[in-house]
Amino acid sequence: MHIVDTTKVLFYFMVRDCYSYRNKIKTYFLNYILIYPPILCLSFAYLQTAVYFGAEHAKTGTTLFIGNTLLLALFLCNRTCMELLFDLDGNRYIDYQATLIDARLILVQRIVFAATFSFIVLLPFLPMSKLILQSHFDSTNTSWPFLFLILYVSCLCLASYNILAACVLKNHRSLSTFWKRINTPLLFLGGFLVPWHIINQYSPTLGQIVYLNPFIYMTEGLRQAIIGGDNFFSYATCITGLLLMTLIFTLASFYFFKKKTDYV
Amino acid sequence: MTNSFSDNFRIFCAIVRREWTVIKKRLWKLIIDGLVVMIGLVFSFSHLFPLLGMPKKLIAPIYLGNIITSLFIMGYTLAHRIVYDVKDNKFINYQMTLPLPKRWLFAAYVTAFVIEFFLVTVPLFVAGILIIKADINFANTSILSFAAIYLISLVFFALFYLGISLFFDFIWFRDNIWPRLLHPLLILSPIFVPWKLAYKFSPSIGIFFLINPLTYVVEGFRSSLLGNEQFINNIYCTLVVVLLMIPTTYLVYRGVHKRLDPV
Repeated sequence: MHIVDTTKVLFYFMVRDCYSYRNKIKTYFLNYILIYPPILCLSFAYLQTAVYFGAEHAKTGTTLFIGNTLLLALFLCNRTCMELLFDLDGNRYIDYQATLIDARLILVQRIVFAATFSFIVLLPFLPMSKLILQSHFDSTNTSWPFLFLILYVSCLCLASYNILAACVLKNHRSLSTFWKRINTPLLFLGGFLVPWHIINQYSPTLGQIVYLNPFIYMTEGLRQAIIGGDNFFSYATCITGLLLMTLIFTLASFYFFKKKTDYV
Repeated sequence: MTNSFSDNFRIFCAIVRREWTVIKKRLWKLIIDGLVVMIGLVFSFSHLFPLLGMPKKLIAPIYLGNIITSLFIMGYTLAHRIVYDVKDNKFINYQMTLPLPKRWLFAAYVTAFVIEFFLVTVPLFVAGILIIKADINFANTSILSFAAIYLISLVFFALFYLGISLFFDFIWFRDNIWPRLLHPLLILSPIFVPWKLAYKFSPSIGIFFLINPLTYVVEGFRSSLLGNEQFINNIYCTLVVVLLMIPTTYLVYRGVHKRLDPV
């Protein structure tokens, strides 16, 4: 197929995905913009920080709070990408799509859609949190353009990770185990609660192992963009790490998808 | 034709036996799943948070809060199963045709949930205590009070999860149950901060937490194991959790009528 035709088909698939999600966008905004920011701010950045570390610890509170962005991004990308797993279990609409263009391009299109959708839903999360927390959210060194760049690259990485999971998992019943046995350890050692320098301080060996965890590049990148300083990974490390992980996950998902569906 | 009590009891036992067979098959999987979550939480709060400056005296109360988090996540898995059954397999519809009053049938479900909760959380307790043994003091433990609040809480969780799995439809449950119900309940409770410390820091937050049923479950666990001084009194907590079973039982009743349409 000519490249222009392929692009057209991909564009129509993208439009189709946007169409199927247009009704859900209100629900997502309600859940992720109106419900999550106030409750997470109250618990993680305000109450827990004050009780654990004392009232004058805005920086520690912000460090603690930022990890929640990873959790929300993971929820969103998982929810969007696992449509593929449900599809493979059920109607197999993707088989029809694969008759039109290369299946690998369909996977890339799904990754880009899931990443963009999750990014759009999450975009107001941190500004909203700043509005709610005011001085309890330390944004004196925040670089908003870098923050949004890191957020988008993170969404790409999480989307490719979840597409890979959808290609590897046997069926939708394995999802619960996937969350508990794979995602949970990755979250705890991925900077969801504490930054990398604390993990490294606890055990330098563990600190080295954590370099293999894709989630750490997201949380460290967000912490660097919001708080800044030498305690967190540099932008270059985070973006390179995230893009490299995205590439690995995407290539692996091509392999496992071929094994699962045996497309020609 | 109406069944005698012994007939009902025999069918009830047969259903629980059937559930027990299913539980045995997945018990190890559930224990391993629970342990992974538990170890992650306990490791973070007992080893990493003190490096950020968290006082060590908070480790034990937060660990008990983490047990509730694990119970909460496990309850969701059980509820998820019922939601899928109501939507796809409809095995529950077959069970409703059995010559058994509906309250007996749902009592069998609650019993099976409680057994499963119990078998999975006991290893979690032991594993958690082994990890933080240096930071937990059992000098003020009241085993009887703990056994009471523990069992009552398990029944409460069983009723709550059975209720929500029957009350909400599949799509709403899948998309909204965490952001609109479970996460607010979990996060806006004294799971991560003992209630008295939350109240001391902000009385309005403390009072707000009192609306949340989890407050009484977690504080009951803490006061029965670590002593009443720093936490809400365990007798008060036990009474409130018993009272909370009334609305959760009503939720089950409403759910059955809404989703299953019993004759």
